[in-house]
Amino acid sequence: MKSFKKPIFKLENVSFYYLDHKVALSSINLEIYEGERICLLGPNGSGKTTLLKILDGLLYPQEGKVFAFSKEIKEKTFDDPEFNRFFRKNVVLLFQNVEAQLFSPRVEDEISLGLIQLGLKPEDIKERVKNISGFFHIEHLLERSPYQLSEGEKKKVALASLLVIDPSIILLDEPTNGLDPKSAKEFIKYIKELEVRGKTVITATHDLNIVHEISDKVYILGEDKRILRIGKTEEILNDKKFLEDTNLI
Amino acid sequence: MSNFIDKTLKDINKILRETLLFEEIKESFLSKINEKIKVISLIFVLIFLSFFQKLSSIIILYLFSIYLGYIGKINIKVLLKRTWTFIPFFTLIIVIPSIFMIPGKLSLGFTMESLISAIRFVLRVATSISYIQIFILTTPWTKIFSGLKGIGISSLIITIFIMTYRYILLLLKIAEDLYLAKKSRTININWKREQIWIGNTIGILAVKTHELSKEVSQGMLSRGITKDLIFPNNSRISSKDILVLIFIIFILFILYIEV
Ligand SMILES: Nc1ncnc2c1ncn2[C@@H]1O[C@H](COP(=O)(O)OP(=O)(O)O)[C@@H](O)[C@H]1O
Ligand SMILES: [Mg+2]
Repeated sequence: MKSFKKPIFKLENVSFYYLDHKVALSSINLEIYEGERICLLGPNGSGKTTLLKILDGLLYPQEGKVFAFSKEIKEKTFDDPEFNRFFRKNVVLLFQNVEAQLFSPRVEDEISLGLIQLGLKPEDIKERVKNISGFFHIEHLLERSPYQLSEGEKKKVALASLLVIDPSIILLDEPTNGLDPKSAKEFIKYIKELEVRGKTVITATHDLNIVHEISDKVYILGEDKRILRIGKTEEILNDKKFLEDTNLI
Repeated sequence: MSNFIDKTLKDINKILRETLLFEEIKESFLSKINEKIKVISLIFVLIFLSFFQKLSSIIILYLFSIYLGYIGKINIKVLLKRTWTFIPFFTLIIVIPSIFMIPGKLSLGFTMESLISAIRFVLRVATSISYIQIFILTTPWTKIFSGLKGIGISSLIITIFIMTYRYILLLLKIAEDLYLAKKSRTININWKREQIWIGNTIGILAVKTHELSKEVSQGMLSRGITKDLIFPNNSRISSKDILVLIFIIFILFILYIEV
């Protein structure tokens, strides 16, 4: 059935090198469809962050082609304000380093930022900020500065700021890293909730414990920065030998 | 000695962070003034200040800023601290050398004239900082930017401000982390090792700076923040706002012609 639908993202033979010519991703092919729940699984340095940044239109591969919404993505593509707006409204990325995406001195300003860009009326902005902070239980943080929060609170504020514009595709880079078990559990709950609402969620992680909760499909990235395997979550999680060989357990 | 360096590093870090972190803005007479009027008034104050020659005018203008702080419900202690902690740096770097320079002659010496001009300079700096702090402490962040935009500063420049702001805070945090990481590993202090550490830290900071600036700009791109950044509409300018502006210009003028 899915083959009749067009993929949201399609990568053809994508390779990426950082400035020092070190390979960070090698010959990646993938297709991602609307509503899929995907985990990118791989050890540190296997290229998960790089791949997510390519999907989010922040990095452009030196080799291969990237398509998003059936349009080939190049740096120039984003010079078109209409496409930029459409893409940024629909695709969001929670950075591994969330600090780099918090800009405002107050949490409330931070959450409003995206809504202001969309040109919403002040009353509507207030309403939406109220709703999203209720969802994440961060009402008590609204007057605080994002920089003075704990790691878990920062991630929640960052995610709230991204989700408040109601995107359809959510990219998450190591969302539970650095969180204590209780906060991690809470975060998983939010991710599942998004999936229930029909969002496409792509999560990069090396935490095997969360994979079965938030994904149906897994892409395994190896130390050689290639996709080693694509499969159903259960199938891969049950293949202990493979997981050991790829340094995931 | 090494303790002194530790302490100085920590103090600078703390002051910068405190200054850059905005606090909750209490509702007051000043917070209700239109942000465009506030920006314009601030610019007037800074311009007039640079023309004032008499110490008494500068001092009165400075005291007036404290009074504004009071009606703006700002914690006066915070205001004083934020103003005067920067002064020793200026004094050391710029003022002290100038006291001993006699204008016109290339020799060193101490004159009453150069002392007064040094004091004037310090007071001017303190007064400017004081007014800037009052502006920041009584105006929400988004309104500061919309006020700047209201007087014709381009969104691009404002975007760069935001980035710089974000970036300085991150950098300070990294510096502090490096400092704490070092401290947790230091058992006994050795001055030589301290010097090496400072050298290394500057190196690491330089590398991190580069990575960070890329990451922060990606963070902005990803959230759709472009040079066409939109700010909330300016609130309307009321007749009360105009009166405030006229009053401030009047005071500045009186001080200028010097009673
Ligand atoms: N800014 C960078 N400059 C140079 N090399 C980088 C940079 N970021 C990542 N790399 C390298 O690219 C490879 C993939 O990194 P990354 O995508 O961050 O992996 P992961 O997220 O899976 O840990 C690693 O070998 C890493 O060292
Ligand atoms: Mg990563």
